[in-house]
Amino acid sequence: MTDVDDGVVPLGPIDLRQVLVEIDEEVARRRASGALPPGLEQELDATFARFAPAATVGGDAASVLAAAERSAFVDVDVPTASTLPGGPVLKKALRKGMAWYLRYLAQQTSAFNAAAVRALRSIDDRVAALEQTSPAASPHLRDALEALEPASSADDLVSVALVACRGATGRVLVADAGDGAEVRALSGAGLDAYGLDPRRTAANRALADGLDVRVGEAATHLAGVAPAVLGGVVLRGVVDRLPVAGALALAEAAARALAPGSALVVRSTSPTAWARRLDPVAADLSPGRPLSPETWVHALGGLGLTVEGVHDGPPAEELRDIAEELPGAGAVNANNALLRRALFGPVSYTVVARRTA
Amino acid sequence: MKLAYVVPRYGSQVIGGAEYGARMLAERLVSRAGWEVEVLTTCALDARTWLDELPAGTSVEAGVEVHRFPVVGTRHPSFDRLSPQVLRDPEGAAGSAERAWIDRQGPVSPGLLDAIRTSDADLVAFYPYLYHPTVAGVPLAAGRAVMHPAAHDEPPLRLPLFRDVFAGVEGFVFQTDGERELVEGLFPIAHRRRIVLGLGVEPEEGDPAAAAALGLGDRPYLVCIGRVDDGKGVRTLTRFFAAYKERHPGPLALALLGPVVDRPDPHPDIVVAGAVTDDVKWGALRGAVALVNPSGYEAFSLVLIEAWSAGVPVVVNQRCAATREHVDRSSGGFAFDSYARFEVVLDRLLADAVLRRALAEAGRTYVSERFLWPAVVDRYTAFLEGVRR
Repeated sequence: MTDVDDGVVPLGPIDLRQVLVEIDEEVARRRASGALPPGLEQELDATFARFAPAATVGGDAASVLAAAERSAFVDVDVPTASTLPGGPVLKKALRKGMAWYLRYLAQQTSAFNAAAVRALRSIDDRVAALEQTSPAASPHLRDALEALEPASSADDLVSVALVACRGATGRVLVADAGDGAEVRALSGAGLDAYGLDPRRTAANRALADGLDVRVGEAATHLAGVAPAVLGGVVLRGVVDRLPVAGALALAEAAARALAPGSALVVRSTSPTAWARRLDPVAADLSPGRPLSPETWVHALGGLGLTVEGVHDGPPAEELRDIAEELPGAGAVNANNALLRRALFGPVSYTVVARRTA
Repeated sequence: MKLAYVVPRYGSQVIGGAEYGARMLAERLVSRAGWEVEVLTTCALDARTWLDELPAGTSVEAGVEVHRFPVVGTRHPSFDRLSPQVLRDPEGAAGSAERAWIDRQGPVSPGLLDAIRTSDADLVAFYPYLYHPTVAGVPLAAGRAVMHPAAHDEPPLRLPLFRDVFAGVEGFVFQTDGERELVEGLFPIAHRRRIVLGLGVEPEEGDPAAAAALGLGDRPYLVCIGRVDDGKGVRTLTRFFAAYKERHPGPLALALLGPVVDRPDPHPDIVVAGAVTDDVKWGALRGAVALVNPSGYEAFSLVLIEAWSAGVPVVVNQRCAATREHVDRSSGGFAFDSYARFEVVLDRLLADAVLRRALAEAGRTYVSERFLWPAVVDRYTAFLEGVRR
């Protein structure tokens, strides 16, 4: 089994989703029609609950809330069956004798439970509404981003990362790893590198290639990493699409996970190039925008890291040079280079910062 | 590569559980070129007592070198009294209390710990997380410890002492993604190497006369395979089934196959067969309408994989992360979290042979893509080589 989530498998002539819907509807119909006596179901479900974990798993919020709602009512009519002679009579007498007291308590508890479930439903509705307006949380946006190809690997980033992480003893994390080119290069240099990418297709391609690349988001992953254990962190791609607060929180989590003396390498698209060059669909769907190198230098310094340098990525490709053999090509191309730097700057940049040893 | 497994008990007498998984992997790895496998274990067979039942010393079992060491005492008589006190608030358990809990649960075997310390294996694989050999043994195998936690969401997993145990492990082998998420949610180990592996299956034809031998004749029947134990959800299943039969009289029967810990109330349509041979198990499985696994606490559930490989759909407990994950990913069955759903699911399965076949086929595809032994062992060896690097 891998990290792959396959979803519902087609069942030939059977539409399983439809069957599951029909099962849900039939359960609801039997409950509503009284075909299932509530007492019977409650007694049997109490047995189920006694031998099962408290929380349902894998369900969406609506089904978890439905389960909570079913458990909200406190039943004081305890079963009176017994294998002991006289047991049922004794239990019935006890139930009757204590009913006035237990009902008083149970009514209050049931009322509180019902109010709590109603409150949770209301919060669920509001969260759902918020998700629709917040790009970072929207499941629709996540799905759309999943369909996009990750940025291709960058040779200049590999060479900067190799120098920055040289001699690391802990594992080196690359996020987003894409098809694993950086992970492969770092591993080839003897580092224990692994990667993360939120796009299943890309991560699984790398996994099939024998690399330790997993499906996942960098922020979630770093929250599960012990402090001061990683030999290096390379952040690429992910920092281009996060909202500012998310990008800074990610840097903080990465800094926390770094072993003393280890490097954090942040590779970002330059903000101007991002606006000019990114796939328009990816740009429109992106919840965030890349930060300027100065902002990263400022932020990483604020996290107690020592910034070692900012490395420019490849130059912009606008204003292409003319062929060398043409007359005056040298002067034209030199001017082009000046204009490119002045007008466009580099396509990307890499900031290297190190946790104090 | 030399791999040493550390398990609290080992042998063909140990049915099911994490130890069975360890044996299956060990027996297959040992036949691979370039692999040397040994097992370090105790002389015990029964996890409730840890009584020494097998002789101490070295033996070769199915090609695997097995070293057994005696247990000091048995499971401590005060363990059952101590356990609820410690596990009531596991996160808040005092260090001395949780240490006492682990020691008294056992099995404590100083000889086994010495063997871990002096083992020349490249990697030491601990299986499962819960017992004394893992807790005391992981620090002795620093830098080469691999763990098959076989964890599910239970109070002991939250004892603080396990933080150091998990932190000392280089690589993790999980049985399901649910188990991985659970463990990674509790311990800061996300950076460690890990694999979600599961177990393999080798389907057998089985005895075609098994149903008749079990007294089921030609009745349609559900089958539940595993320990007949309230904790495994069997009481839930028998009560649900009895209620179902009362509301739906007919020939349907329920066969319970496995060692009996808690005998269910007698019912004319429930057959409690006890432990059966593999031949009977596979034969009974192949003839069943569906396999039901009512347990809420499974780390993997090999019986589901066996059922699908035998062409049988399954019904599982919706609150069990592992079995629910299998069903969600395979579309090979249904889950229930209430009597109402159990009843409707059974009605659908019994009434619709096309649906049963489609579910079984989806399950079979899921198994053949992931859980046939050669592929499982290939992935496992590649993972272990990565950990050793």
